[in-house]
Amino acid sequence: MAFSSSQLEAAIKEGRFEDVAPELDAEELQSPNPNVLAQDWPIALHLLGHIYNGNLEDARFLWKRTPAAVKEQDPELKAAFQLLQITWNKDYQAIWQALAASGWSQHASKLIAALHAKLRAHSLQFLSRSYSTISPAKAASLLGASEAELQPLVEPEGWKLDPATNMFKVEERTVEDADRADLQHLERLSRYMVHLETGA
Amino acid sequence: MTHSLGYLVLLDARGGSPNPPHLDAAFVKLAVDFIRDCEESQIRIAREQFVSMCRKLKEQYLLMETPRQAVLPLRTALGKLADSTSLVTPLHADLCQMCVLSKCYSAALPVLDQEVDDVDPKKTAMTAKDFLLFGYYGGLVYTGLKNYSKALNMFLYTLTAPTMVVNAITMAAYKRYVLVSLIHAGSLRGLPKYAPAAVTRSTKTECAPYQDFASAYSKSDEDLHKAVTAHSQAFADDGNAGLVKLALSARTMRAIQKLTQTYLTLSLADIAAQVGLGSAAEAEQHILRMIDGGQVFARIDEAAGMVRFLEDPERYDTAKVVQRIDGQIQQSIAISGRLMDINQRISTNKGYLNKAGGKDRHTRMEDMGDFGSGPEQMAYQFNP
Repeated sequence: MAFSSSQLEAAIKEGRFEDVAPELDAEELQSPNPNVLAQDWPIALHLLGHIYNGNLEDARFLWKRTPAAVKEQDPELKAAFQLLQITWNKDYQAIWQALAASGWSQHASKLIAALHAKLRAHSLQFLSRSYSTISPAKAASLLGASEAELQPLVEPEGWKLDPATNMFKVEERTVEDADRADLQHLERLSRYMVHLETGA
Repeated sequence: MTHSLGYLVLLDARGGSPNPPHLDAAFVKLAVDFIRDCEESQIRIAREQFVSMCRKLKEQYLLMETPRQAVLPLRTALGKLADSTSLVTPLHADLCQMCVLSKCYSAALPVLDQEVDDVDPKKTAMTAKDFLLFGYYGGLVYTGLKNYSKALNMFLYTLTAPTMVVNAITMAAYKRYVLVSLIHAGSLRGLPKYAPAAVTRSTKTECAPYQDFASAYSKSDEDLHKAVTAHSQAFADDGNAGLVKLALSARTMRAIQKLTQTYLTLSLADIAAQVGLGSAAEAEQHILRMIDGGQVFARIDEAAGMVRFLEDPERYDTAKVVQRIDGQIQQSIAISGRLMDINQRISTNKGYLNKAGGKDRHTRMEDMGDFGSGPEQMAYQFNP
């Protein structure tokens, strides 16, 4: 990788993965090189960065503006694109296989690990919302874990295995919002109200 | 740079006439440096030249087939041209166009996300065509980024711009407007009343395939299928085939959403049958995706194979909601203040008064006076 921005390196090293894609976007816009994406651009990292930030549209446009030659030569980019397709189509089961594929470079594998953790947390939270009962097999495939790994993963979420049906029961949870409306805002809103009342 | 004005005129002349087009690398370099370093107050004296110079720079980048490189200079130039971010400049359209061509859609957002509410040809050398293009390209950018409500708003800028004659930009914007509103809202909302009559009239004849598609959209699958196959060539010619596909796939989602209005619980198999999906598993996938996207609130009971539809769990009592409401109110106050400004400007405009004059001048003036005690005035004065 001839292109090595120190900021990019630092972002990955310090785990600021959300900065990777904006950093590379800005760099690309500034570049005087007309074919900047074709020459030693960390393109797979760029694509993964967008996926990590959940900006799938940006990732898609990055893929579209990538020169055809690069698309064919870079196996890592191909893998990243496959991942993009899967997340785009919301194929919850296939994501985990794609993430587990080997052959990620050193930097990319760090990003992939972070992405894995982020997606796992999201899926867990989102399955808790979507299911009232779920079979262990389905939960395992949707979370990308084996059934043995499942128990410790879902226990904190309040899932209980019902031995009679062999299904997880998912408790409905009311999400307690820690930061209720703070006084400052309420004060301002009430001032608006007073103004409207008196003005009318 | 103390001699920005003189330099600008020279540079604009150096750019030469765009015909015949030829590459001029030296001009590009000079122009980019100039845009970066120039003195704002001076270039604002010669806005036409500045805009024309930027256009020439854009042409050069188009010739080199590197629209990406035009994005940053144009963004800088745009900031220097207008003294307020709420003004639409002629360069807005060019910037959006370059972002679309280079597929760097997000690069237009820092500019597009600014609320714009004023057009002032005197301050920005704006022309009618620039404004139409701004709405069109801005809409394209937001459509690409799937921010459909903003895209619709942008297209409406173009569609509702006052005009006596209809041009190709308006028609192209209308076509996209139809498709995006089908994707976003599931039905076509007619053009607002303030859209010029010429536009409303000609959409019926010029955009017949789209009107057809929109009316078939709310009918049966069979009708829709017929409409799509009949007009697929027209859609492809306009480069809208992708949006048509998106509109079709959004229909499944709408169908499931409709079910929530009728049923509280429904089995997956029933959903599949009602919506026209192959199997219960497929329906489950669809519902999962919709829950993830926040398009439906439901819980799946896998043991019984049932889905229970829920109400929106948002109780509107969190800090986030209050913050949003607060922000909206602030924004409304600011907008109504600017509206008052514009109102006042128009009511003191000589041309307007002459036109509105004659017999009912007296009553008109009274109307203007009414604004003083209207709600706008109150909000304008309100300063918490």
